[in-house]
Amino acid sequence: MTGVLGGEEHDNDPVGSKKNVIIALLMIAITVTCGILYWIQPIMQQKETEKVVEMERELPLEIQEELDDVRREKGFAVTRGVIDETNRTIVLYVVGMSDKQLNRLQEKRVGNWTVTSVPDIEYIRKMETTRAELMRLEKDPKMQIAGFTMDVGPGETEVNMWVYNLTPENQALDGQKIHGWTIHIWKALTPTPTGTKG
Amino acid sequence: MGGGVNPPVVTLVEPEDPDIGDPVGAERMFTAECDQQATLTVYLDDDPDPVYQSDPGVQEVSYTFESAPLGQHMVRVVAANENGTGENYWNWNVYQYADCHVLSGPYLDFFIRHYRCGSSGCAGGSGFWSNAVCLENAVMRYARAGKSTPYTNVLAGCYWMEKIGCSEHCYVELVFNLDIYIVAVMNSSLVPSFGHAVCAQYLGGEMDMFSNWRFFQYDNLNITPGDWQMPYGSEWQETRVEIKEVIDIPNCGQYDGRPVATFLIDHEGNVR
Repeated sequence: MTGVLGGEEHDNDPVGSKKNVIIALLMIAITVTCGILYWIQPIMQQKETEKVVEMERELPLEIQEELDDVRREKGFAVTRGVIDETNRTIVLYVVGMSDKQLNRLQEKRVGNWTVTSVPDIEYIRKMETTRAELMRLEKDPKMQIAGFTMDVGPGETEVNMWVYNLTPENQALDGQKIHGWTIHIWKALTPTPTGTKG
Repeated sequence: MGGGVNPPVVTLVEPEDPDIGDPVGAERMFTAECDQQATLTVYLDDDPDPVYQSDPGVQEVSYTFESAPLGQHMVRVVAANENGTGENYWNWNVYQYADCHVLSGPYLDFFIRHYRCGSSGCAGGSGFWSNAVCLENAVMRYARAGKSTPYTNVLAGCYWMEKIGCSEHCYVELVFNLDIYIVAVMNSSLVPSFGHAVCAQYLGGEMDMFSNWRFFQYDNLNITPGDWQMPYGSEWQETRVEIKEVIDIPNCGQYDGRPVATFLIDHEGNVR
């Protein structure tokens, strides 16, 4: 082997030298590939056991009951749940939970499951960006905005906005998306002295 | 008219009458003028801190009060310059209408026209009143009748007034902790397009049973399909009734909601 790697034979046998380089490169590639597989395989196995659910009713029944119980303190929304069937863990991504509620659902044992809730930071960030934009529009008198509500939940990106009067400016906003949230414009209805809508 | 050595004289311009009255919540502008250039200062009642002070060397001052508490008030204008001081005043009676609704129980069964923000802890509103529509009326009803305690930090700084001349109420002067939700009732195929906000009380049982909910808003404590606040659908589109659990109240006229049940009303009033 030393002869193979030696400078003299390299100079004398360029074909053999090239062959050795290719073999060395192949060995390196095999080693790297094995290494990657060694590290990646467990992760891939773990992913295969995880299931993402978007609807609360798709969570195990005992988890739904636990959420109903936690909800007695204050309303909140679960935007998704990640269920690991192998390790019997569930991570709930939530919006609107109080600190107390979040603390209550930290690695909590519920039936055969261990449940942890975490704020859905990405969802909240998008929601607040949208809210800031809507509140900026609210200051424009041409928009005639009386108020708006935002729906929160899995896939919920709806905004209902009530206006005092319909204007070309607010009608142009109807059906439009702001940062992924769809805006619906409604003319506000209030009672008139005759008792009908106005 | 002019300088001289006489002290300044203040004349009431608007209103000209020194004895005036307004319903509680009504704005009122006061204007006075002075026969000399002076610093003009406006005071309310016995408060030693002025509500407004002009620059030196002016001859007219105007100030608008957003409103004043119920009762008798004095608005005083003092002029001061090198010749001395002079003053004049209005007697301002702020009264309440007799036909304002009296609150009792968890439900507000009348249309509330105005809302505004103010001090926290239900210590009183400030600033100009905004017109309240269905959304704000729903939030007010939720705040009083519903489980609104988690949002006290916001709601205790929100105030409503039935109409000009009625007294101001904090959203959470009483909280009844009932199972109240906020509802969007929508049908874009109706002419004009219909979108409304009401409240619903959950009566127990399955949430996806329409009969387990009681809807209310404005003067109607039991809205049913066919009412103007919950119209039948059209032949082209059913009316959607989306019930939402409140999960946040960012300010006096907004809420974030988690949809918990949706019902559809067809053109014959059938609900599914």
